Amino acid sequence: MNQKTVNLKDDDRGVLFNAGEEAASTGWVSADPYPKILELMQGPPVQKGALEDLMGIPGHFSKLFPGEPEHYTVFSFDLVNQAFLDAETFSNKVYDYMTKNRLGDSLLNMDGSRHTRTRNISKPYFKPSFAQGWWSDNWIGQAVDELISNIVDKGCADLNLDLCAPLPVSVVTIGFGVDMKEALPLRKAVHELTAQRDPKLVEEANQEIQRIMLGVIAARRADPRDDLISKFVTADFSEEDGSTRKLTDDEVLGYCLLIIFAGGGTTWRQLGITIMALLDNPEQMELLRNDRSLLRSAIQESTRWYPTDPVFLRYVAKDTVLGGVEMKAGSILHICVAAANRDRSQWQDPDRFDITRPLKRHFAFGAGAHACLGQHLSRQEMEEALNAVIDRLPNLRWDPDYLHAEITGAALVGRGPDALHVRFDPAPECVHRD
Amino acid sequence: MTNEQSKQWTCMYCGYVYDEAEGDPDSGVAPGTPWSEVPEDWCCPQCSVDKDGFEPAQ
Repeated sequence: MNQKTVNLKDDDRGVLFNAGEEAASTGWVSADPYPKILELMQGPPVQKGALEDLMGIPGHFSKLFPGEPEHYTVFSFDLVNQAFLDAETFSNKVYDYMTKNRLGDSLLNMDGSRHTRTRNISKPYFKPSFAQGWWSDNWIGQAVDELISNIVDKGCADLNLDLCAPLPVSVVTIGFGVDMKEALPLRKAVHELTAQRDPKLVEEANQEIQRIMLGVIAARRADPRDDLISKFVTADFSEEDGSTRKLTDDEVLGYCLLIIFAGGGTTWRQLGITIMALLDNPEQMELLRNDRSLLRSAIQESTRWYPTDPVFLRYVAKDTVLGGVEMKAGSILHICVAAANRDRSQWQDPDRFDITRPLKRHFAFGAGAHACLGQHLSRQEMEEALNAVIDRLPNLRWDPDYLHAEITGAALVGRGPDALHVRFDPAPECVHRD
Repeated sequence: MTNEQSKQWTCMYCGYVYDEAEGDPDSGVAPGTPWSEVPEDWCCPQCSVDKDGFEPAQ
């Protein structure tokens, strides 16, 4: 049988899939942001200053922009919502400075009609029904089964490296139509491309990505298959005047890089956060075990309670007022979704993880025109993984031989557990397996 | 506001607001279409979630 998943324990993964090491490689500090964010939430809902400066940690985002723009941070649910939904005023042009120089022109840095027309190319392949059908039937189900089967008779595992990390990178790689042996080299190259500060190493990463991807793109143009790259090369892109054309190789490559970059870490970390929260709240794990209709709520709660990325940035495209605070065009707005997701006016006892809360929207995946394209795929992967963990790893519990897991990562981006060392009872049919 | 009274419905996953007065003409839903008459196979024009993913606007 062809392997459906990447093995992260035996292969050289460098700093990848260790949230703390990944953060260190990008120059971020790893401080837990919540104590300071919760303190700042007690002040005005819009405050002057970048979130990192208000928190008193070394600047990272604020160094990215030329001309020393003014920075503001918004904390409340209502104003965060207002900012996300007003994309004309709070524009994604901010990504011209954050990702465009490395990932190229992508959905992230586009606005308006061009963003809509470009997003429409991929939208059908990331809608909920496609995640529940095509992604699940072709890739997710088999990947989850393979990963759980690798550990089920061992009685112990690090679910971070054995399940949470390899699942999304495997699903995206094989869903693209790229050979599984390239999963780790491709992910490494994208990390180097976005995190590396040495231009020579950035160029090497670029060449590695082109080596892996351009051949697949050319092959699918000649002979389309049932994979995502085939869907991209055969899709019709609508120009402003209504005419249509196929995407160029660069555009297809850009799309793929964006999906790896944006989706490569979030599902991994969020699945880990969810499992960690359930292990820390065994009564809620038991509730979920007995009532799987709570799966959707469990994931919605996990993403609310501890989103992997506490802040999103936007460029203030025109003079405006938000929450009574005037902002000049050219300013940078830091949208603190971690704060908005714990807004006291929206949730009771919002610092508590509680999967029985009524379903309610929040901002872990952003909102508005730029709401995360892959959020339904991400939810599907997490649902299937959680189901398998509950069904196939009986009596799941923390491994007492290891320190308790900690959520680490950069202070304001890419947070997740350092490890998830667990024990479980080997399934009866596996106990005597050689 | 109860479900029956709401004239606006918000997508729980991206915040898109379906306003009955405006409908969603790009998807074939005419202005003035009440939520109850929006076709069951209609989905959020921003994030594609189906009608189940909407809640009455606050």
